Amino acid sequence: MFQSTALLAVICIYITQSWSSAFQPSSRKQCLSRPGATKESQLRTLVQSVSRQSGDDSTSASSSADDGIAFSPGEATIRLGLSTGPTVWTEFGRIAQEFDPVNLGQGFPDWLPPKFAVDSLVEAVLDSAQSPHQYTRPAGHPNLVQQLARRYSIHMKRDIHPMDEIAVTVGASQALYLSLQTLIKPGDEVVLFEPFFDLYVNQVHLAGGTPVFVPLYFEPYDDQIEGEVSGGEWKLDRRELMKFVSPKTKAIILNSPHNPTGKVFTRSEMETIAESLDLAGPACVVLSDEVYKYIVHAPPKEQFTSDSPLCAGHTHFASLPGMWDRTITISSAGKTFSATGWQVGWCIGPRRLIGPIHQLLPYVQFCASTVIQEALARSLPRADEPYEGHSSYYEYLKDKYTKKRDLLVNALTNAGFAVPDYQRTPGGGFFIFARAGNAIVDLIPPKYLMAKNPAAPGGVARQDWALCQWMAEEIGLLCIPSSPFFSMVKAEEGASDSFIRVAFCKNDETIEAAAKALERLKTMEVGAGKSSNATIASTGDVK
Amino acid sequence: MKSTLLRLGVFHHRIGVVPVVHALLTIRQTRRTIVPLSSRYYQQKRFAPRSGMTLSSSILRSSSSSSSNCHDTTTAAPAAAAGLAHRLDGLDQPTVWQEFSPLATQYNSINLGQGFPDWDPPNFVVEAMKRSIDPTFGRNANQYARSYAHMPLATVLAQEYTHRWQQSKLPSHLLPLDPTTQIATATGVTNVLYCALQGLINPGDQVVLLEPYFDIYSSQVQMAGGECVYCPLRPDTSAVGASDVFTLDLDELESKLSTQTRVLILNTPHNPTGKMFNHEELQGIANLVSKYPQLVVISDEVYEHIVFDTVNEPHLSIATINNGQIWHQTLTMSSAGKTFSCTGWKVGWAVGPSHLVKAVTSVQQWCNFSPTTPTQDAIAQALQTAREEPYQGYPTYYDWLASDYRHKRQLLVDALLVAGMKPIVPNGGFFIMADTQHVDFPYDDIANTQLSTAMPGYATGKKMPRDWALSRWLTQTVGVTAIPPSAFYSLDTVDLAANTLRFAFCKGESTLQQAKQRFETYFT
Repeated sequence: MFQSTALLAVICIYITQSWSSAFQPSSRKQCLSRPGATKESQLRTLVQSVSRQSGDDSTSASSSADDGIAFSPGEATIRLGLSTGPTVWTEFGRIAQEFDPVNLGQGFPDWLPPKFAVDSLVEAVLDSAQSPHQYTRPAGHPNLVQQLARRYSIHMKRDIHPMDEIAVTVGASQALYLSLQTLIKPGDEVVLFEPFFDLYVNQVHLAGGTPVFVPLYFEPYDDQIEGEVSGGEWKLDRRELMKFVSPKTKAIILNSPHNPTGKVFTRSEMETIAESLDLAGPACVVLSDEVYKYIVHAPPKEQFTSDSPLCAGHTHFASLPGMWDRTITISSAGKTFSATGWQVGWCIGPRRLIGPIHQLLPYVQFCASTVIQEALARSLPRADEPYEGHSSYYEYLKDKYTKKRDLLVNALTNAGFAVPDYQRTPGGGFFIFARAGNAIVDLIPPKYLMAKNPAAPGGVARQDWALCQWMAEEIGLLCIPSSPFFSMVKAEEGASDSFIRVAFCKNDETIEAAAKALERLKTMEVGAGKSSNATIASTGDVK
Repeated sequence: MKSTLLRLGVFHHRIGVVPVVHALLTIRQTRRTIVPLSSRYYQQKRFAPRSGMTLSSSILRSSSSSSSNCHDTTTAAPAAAAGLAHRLDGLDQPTVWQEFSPLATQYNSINLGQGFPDWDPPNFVVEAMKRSIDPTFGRNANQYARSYAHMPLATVLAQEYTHRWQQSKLPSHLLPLDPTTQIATATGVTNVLYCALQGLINPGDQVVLLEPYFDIYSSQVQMAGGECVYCPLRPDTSAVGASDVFTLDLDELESKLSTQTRVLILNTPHNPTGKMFNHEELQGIANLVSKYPQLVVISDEVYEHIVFDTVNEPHLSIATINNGQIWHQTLTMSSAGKTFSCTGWKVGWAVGPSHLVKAVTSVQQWCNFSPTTPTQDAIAQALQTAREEPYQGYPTYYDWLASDYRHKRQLLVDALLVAGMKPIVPNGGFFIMADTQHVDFPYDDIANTQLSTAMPGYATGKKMPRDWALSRWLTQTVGVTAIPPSAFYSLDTVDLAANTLRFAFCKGESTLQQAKQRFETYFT
């Protein structure tokens, strides 16, 4: 409910701010006078207005000449609601273009895939004997599912059937999308751990489901020192989880290593999630998004015999006792092979869960790109070979990210951000969820704080958003605010105010440039940014 | 169980499929209170009741109103474990494609069924992909593309369609096209269409399909919660050439349109017939469409460059007809797969007014996040080369492509004549519909002794359609496989397909020659 209310509230703000043309005044009045109403017809009209208004593009918000016509949305668009409007991604994309800051925002590497992967694709393209240029099997290119079955049989310590227990999709995003499409019917609940990757929420909406947010709580190491904040850990509270799981719950989305916090769920937290399934019906499934599993840069101290020998520090949720039958394991090639644009992902699970996905695939796209699947099938065995002085490519990758993490940790700490102590707290993925110290918060010019912004959750720039916008526009470093990763309720409680997401999947030079930009914060005095046109001729020297 | 699957399941009933789907059929029919037919059928023959029925009975119990009598009919099934899996068991042979491809393999038959080329893409396309990813060329198209469309591809497409539609006299105020808001890409046209229908359709909306239609359309409509309304192309047996044989009766089309109609899917050049809609027909359609402001035309033009008489019968986009009369109501779709013989690359696009392109992007960004980058980047380059540079002695690649297919068309026409069939010569695309009425084969034997779970009418115990039986017989006895067009009709009009078969000529010359030899061996 709070979501719909907030959604309508934002739409209202948006309309009052910027609506100017053919929108019917009666609906507008309705919206303004009854912000809590969620009648579908109203929503339809409102979505229509918002979708017309939004600059629907990360690179341009140009108004098109072709239209005097409103987009009349279908079911899917209505379910998405505000999601067709501007988002944190479109807004910070715009800022990046306009101010050209050092960009530690979006989560993709700015380097090439490993040579063997590029070679695999070039070789596949030129291999006219194999000719992987025409349609392939909708459920997955045979060469790729064979390779995946080989690896996952080792991960899961059971024989994975390549044809029945694997579905290949357009990236992990689609793996998740199709899993939800097959599992959820209108009204079903899907549990998300908060903060969450924002894509999940919209995919749940598209399937007609209701997201239910189970908060992870932040436990600081030590907040006793006056005027200072410390790093800490995000933890799952068993009681919170048990409170929200019910027979209405049809799926629980687990993401470990976790975006945006970098958290690695502990074994006992995973066991708690497994136990919570008892509160849900037998149909409830865990969707385990494990795209960062080869980037566990701070592995947990304790190792478990059931863990995969190929994936140190990572626990596949499906390998927990009894969980194979309750889990769809989701992963992709993008993060592992620094090739996010290849868009090959997969679902692994028992055939009763994978079968329905197979059934949808021919109608969603027929098949994922054959040539890319073939390239990945050729890359997988090569990744096991020694690579640049490491025993395998996976070892190299982890080492590479560990060094980059340390670079960024130093830069952030130096500037007054608190970050996790990775000697103490396990971590994975390529983001640091940094906590802004009071000294930094005091620097944010007031004009940024609580400024109206239709892309921001709730339509206003809370502290995290203001900090990121200010840094991107005036300090020359772009990070992503944390509030879009929280539900409106939690954001309004202030849970996200101090946190920003900083990516380290970037060249060392980029991270060093970021460090340089961050240096500025140390030398600034409170109020330095307050003069309203203090756009520091910014980024030339740091980029 | 998820509504998408339910919707899909309902669809499967059209082309028959398998017992589990019949369970869904039961639901649908009981809602219409035609209970006895399907349930009696279950209990009497063909297969023992399966657990799928049990699930359906549980659905029926939980579903409201009309279920009192159907409850009785379904509880006859033995109780079994509930769950998604059983309902979906046995779907390994659900469609015409999954029936005839394995059958062709089993009988070592020459497969002129599925529509993809059996050769490599042209060298300049392959080289383009190499440039996209080989670091020495500096394009490095390896990371996420812009979600709505890889910008280099969107830019080329906007130029391409602007250029083309200027020549088609689309009013200048509608041009140039804006690559950021008027172009969307996705994982092939199948995925573009999926996203568009998901983005446009509300439950109960009607979508008009012209029969015969590419079978994927109807399932996608069902998945979006829409209802298919069919308008058959009527055969004019006195005419010559697919464009004239398969005629559109505009009055009949008009009778299918109403304020409930949300989408009309048009496909030109047309699969499976090879018909190209002419100016007059498109004008007639545009006039009807413009009476209904809520109506969107989705124009699937994936065979646009495989046309055989560009002078007298050029490819026409309905978006441009009558000075763009229904431009604001039209999404034009096409892809790289057929044009560049790379069906597996899966790069498709939609072009149109931004309020309709948005229907695609708003779903696509959550369905895929972004389409594959290297393939999009390569196609961006290939489109430029194809238009601007000579190819194999032809002014452009497109000229060569049309000429090559014209040659293959002739080979297949010759082969079909040997078999005593009358090819309805296509004007575009790479399929030939053949009139098979003079082919003598043991229809009753096949129909009575062979089981097809994918054929239309299977659910209701109907006799195997003649074209279906003929295709099985041709595969088993002669060694050439075609696709029975009854898969492309609704049950009401499926008889129109009885004396036809669809043959693909997107095959190497030797494959087509071999097919001819087999026909010669058997028929002469």
